[in-house]
Amino acid sequence: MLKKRVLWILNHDTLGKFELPLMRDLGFEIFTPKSVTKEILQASGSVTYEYDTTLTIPEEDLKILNQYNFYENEEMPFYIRKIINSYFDIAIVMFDFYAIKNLVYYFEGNIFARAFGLGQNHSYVSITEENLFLKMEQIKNRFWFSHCYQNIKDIESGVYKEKAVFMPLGLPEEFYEIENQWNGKQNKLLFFCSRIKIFNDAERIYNEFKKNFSGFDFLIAGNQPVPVDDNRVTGFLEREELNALYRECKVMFYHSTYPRHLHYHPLEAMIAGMPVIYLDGGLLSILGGKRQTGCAKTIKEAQSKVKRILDGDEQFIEWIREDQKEILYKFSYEYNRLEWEENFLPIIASAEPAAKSPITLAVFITDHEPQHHKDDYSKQVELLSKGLKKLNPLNNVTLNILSEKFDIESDFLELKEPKVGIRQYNLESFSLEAVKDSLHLTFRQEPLWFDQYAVPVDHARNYINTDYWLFLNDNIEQPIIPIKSYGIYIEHLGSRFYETYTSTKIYNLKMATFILTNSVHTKNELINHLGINGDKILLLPPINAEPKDHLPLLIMSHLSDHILIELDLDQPESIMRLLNDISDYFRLFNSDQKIKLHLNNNGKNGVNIINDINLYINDNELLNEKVIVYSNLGSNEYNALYATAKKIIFPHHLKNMFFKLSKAHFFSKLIIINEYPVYKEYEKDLGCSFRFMKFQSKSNVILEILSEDLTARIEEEKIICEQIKDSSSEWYIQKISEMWRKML
Amino acid sequence: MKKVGMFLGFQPGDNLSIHGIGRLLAFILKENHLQDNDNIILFCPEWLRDSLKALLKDNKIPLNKFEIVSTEKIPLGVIVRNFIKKRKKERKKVSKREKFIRNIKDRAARFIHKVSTELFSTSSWGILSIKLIAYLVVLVVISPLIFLLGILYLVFRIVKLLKLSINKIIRVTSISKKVTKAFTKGKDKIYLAVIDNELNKLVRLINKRKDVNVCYIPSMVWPQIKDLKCAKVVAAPDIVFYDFPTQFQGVDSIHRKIRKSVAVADHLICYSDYVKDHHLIKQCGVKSSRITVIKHANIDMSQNIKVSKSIARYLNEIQNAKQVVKKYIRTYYNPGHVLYFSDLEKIDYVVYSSQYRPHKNIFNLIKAIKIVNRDFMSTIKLLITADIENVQHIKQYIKDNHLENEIIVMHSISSELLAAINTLATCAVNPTLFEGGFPFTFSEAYSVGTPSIISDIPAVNCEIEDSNLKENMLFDPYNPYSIAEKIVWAVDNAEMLYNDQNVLYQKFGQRDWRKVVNEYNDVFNKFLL
Repeated sequence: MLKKRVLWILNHDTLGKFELPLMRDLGFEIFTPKSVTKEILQASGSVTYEYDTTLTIPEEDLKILNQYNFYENEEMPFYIRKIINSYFDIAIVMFDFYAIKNLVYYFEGNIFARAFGLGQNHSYVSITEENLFLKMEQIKNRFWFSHCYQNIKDIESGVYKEKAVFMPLGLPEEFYEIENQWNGKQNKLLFFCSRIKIFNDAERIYNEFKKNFSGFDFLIAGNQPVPVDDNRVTGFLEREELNALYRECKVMFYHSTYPRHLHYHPLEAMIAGMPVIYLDGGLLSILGGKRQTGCAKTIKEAQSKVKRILDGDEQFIEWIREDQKEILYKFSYEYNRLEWEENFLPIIASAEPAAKSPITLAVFITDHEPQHHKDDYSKQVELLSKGLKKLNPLNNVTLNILSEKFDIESDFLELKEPKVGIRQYNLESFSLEAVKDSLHLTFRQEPLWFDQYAVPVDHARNYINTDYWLFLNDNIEQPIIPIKSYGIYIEHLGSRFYETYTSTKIYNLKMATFILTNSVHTKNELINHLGINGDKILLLPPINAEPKDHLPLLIMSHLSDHILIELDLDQPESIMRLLNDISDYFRLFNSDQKIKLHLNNNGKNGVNIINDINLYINDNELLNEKVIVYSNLGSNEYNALYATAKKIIFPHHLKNMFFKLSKAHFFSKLIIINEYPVYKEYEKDLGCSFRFMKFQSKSNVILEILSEDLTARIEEEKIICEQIKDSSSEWYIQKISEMWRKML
Repeated sequence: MKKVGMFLGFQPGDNLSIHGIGRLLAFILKENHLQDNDNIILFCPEWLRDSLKALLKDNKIPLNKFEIVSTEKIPLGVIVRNFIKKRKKERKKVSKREKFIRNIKDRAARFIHKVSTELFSTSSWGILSIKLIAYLVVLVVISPLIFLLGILYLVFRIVKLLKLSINKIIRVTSISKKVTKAFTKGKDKIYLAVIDNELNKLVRLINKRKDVNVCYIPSMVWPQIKDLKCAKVVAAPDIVFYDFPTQFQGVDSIHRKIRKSVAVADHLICYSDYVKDHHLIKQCGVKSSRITVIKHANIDMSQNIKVSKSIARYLNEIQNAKQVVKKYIRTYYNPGHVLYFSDLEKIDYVVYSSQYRPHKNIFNLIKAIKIVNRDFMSTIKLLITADIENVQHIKQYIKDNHLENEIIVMHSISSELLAAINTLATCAVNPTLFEGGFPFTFSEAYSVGTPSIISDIPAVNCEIEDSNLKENMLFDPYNPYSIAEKIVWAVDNAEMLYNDQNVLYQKFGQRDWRKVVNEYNDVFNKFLL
């Protein structure tokens, strides 16, 4: 007996009631989606939990799967990909292109796309998007066109024709509850037409029927989500009410002449024993035998046959009922089981489990001034890599650095041993047309919203050969090309207090496969402020590096002489206000205090702003001897600046805050920082206390800080910190590998 | 049979389904439909017919239930105006000229590509020569046309250059602006006169009907009703200008219209004692006996997100609400929007469903959201249904304070979407300075499981007996800090607040729409006797 698991992504009520028991009888464990879009439910959809008991997968994973909607037009989240690829071998999916697309791109098992036949002579090829079709061709060793009627494949081509497998459909047991119970005591013609006020076609069929059969006493059944103002239209009926119609109405007319599509209701009527009049050319006429008394070549003939039945022509009725048995056999359990055993089971038996290949991850530093945090970045990547290799030693990480920012020969030497490859790249802008071409060549089908996209370019393979991209900063100002699953590390959302998070940045986060952050508060802000799906946010323990050659620096740290203020060049107005406040301090107090300003975020206009600041300081007698400005420091100079500071003030929320705070903490400096719950978590991570101030308030906070009795305050407020956690310790690697395990 | 006429003089383009008056009208019609009372005739200008039908459809009232009488045709003035308006809108997207040029370029490129491919694909010199000759002949034939087009283009460029040069010397723009302004003013006057004329026609239509004894006029801005021969019952929701005389500039003409309507009305219906006493009696000097106060009933929004019977067992109201909102977001936004791909149920947001009016106090609410998110460092969004696109001071404030991701505007939305956003909101907030949120916004939210916090104004305060509940759900609407504090508290205590507000909902629930409509019918019946 087979022991295989199936994802049954169909949610069709009637189909499910036949196919699910059949599969269970064939020995399969079955998952059925529980979260389903309204449109699918309205189209005879349903949800069942019945088959969850067949599954032997962990309960928490089943719970996650049960909450996931396979029919959404969204990229399948990594945690769903992981579950379905870990536990399932087969997916049977209806031709819902959102569902099919996600399975084709992210499911590694065998995919059976169920084709129930389309109206008129439409083929499935004609309704499949080109890139998706090419992708199906690419994976055709495990893609199957599972057609329900023999003639469906006749008009198909490509992978649909080549990989066609006949898997007929049957009728559920409940249909047989009314078997041979027809009594026809209501001399009425029964017709089915659902969703009349929703689809134009349905309305057309409804009107045509009314016109053609105006002389008859009829009832029109079928679900009507929008009510129809006609008392002959029944609207939604419970099963028992419907069965009553099958028992009592004298005759049914089935209008469809589609050769490859059939509704269930004529079959239900046939089971009951009701005579059904149908049109020649339709699927019923194809499935029927030699003699087909109920078949009519024209509407006129149909009218006359309906009339004969309503007039009580017993012999005629009996012939029709007899002929219908041949059609019904094609939908019986015996026939279906035989066909499934012959066609479907051999494929499953011979299917090889998908081979797990090692993961390659390209990590990108997009920071414009990463030099003074080089060691921190390096440590971060080293631990990410070690954590990933714990899952599989063959997993591979490359660190990609902006071409002009580092020396590829000498920087990041410490990453050689953990075998992290170093590459240079640039973030280049691709036009919409170029992106379209690239997507086409990778058989991807993504909606494109922008005119330009950011692409990491190394002029070799442009990272297309890696499995994932990971951007260590969220400062990318263009939408990232949607060609590869990527992640973004985002430290905090402090910038939301100063500027609107741009739609491009939001887009990049929304389209990211995963997001890494290191505080619960940031995770909550990502969910609440930016509407990011919390399930794709992974918590990474905050990482920092011990400053290199730190012993002399530690000695220097006792020679503290200045106050260091970390500032953001993106906020020039705030910097000028702060300089004014410092001026006020020197004006009020005759102090020799030295103040050093470190200007971060030295981007496009940085030089001009720095010049303005220097000019202001030089022109100001109170400041020019006492305030010194620094920017663009190398990592050693930056460490020295921290080591020799008396205290360090952070009036803004800056990038790389954890790197800075851990450095300040390493040198045991008093940290005065703007209030933000994220930093409370950092206090715990670092095992120390910061002093929180409300810098955004209107009062002169800097003046307040500077005018305190510094020495006394420092002694009073210095907290004995816990031993810094060894950042290369097994603890971090363990945490990181746990994070990767969640995702991969 | 004596009948009630309804005078619906709404302007072209008005969407009845999204206006309070429209919704009230729908309640009256629906209840009369349920009571099988068909003695109502709806009179409207032809331009309103579709909107009226949509309102009936939206509220599941059969289209043939009530007789609709309209003016014969839409006047040319309105058609032209609509056309210009539509054209302006289209031009904003991509100018027609740009489209035209792009089209011509594409066609030319395709043509050249086709011709050259055909020429270079020829393998015989003979055929190639024939083809070349054929093309030359065609070229000669159409050369006058090409020449003419060239000349026209040249003239167009010269005129443009001349216009620019003259403009520099004698500032034609300012003159043309003045001329345009005067023209626009004149045009508007003509347009308004056309509309007035249509409403006069409507009056004549009603006067012709001998079976109409009384007419219900749901707004006070149609003074044309003075010529109605039947009795006139006018709805007087409020004359809010009297409470905020400095905040309603440019309403002189509307005020005059209102006063004319009040003067000619045989009877007035208002929705609160406050309006009766303070606006109609105190300010307009209307006799108390000419006024009936008919308060609204609760609005049960849950009807709007109920799913059909066939799928109710698989999809609950919250799931349906999420799908309704998601569909809207997918249609109107892109993934650069905070709500795209988001689960609104997991996002804390407060909702204020109201149109933009100065007394709705939206600016203070937006200031409060700034305090909530900056000073209190929370992440709570505000979703409003007011169109603030043209309210410059609010737009500027949002921009200056980087609130674009925190203030979400969804205006002109369907009842289904309104119900859905109320369902998923953590709390509803109503900072209005006038009349309060009882029962409308309160019951809209409560009926779908969402509590409310409301302005502490007399109209609200007097409805709540429990002092603890007052303390929990009311705020000082003039103080953004007070609004902010209450929002944060309500978001943290939404469930408790919802439970506590049940007593209020039940209190308002004692009054249902059947009762309300019966009171309307009682007023009409007095004039039918």
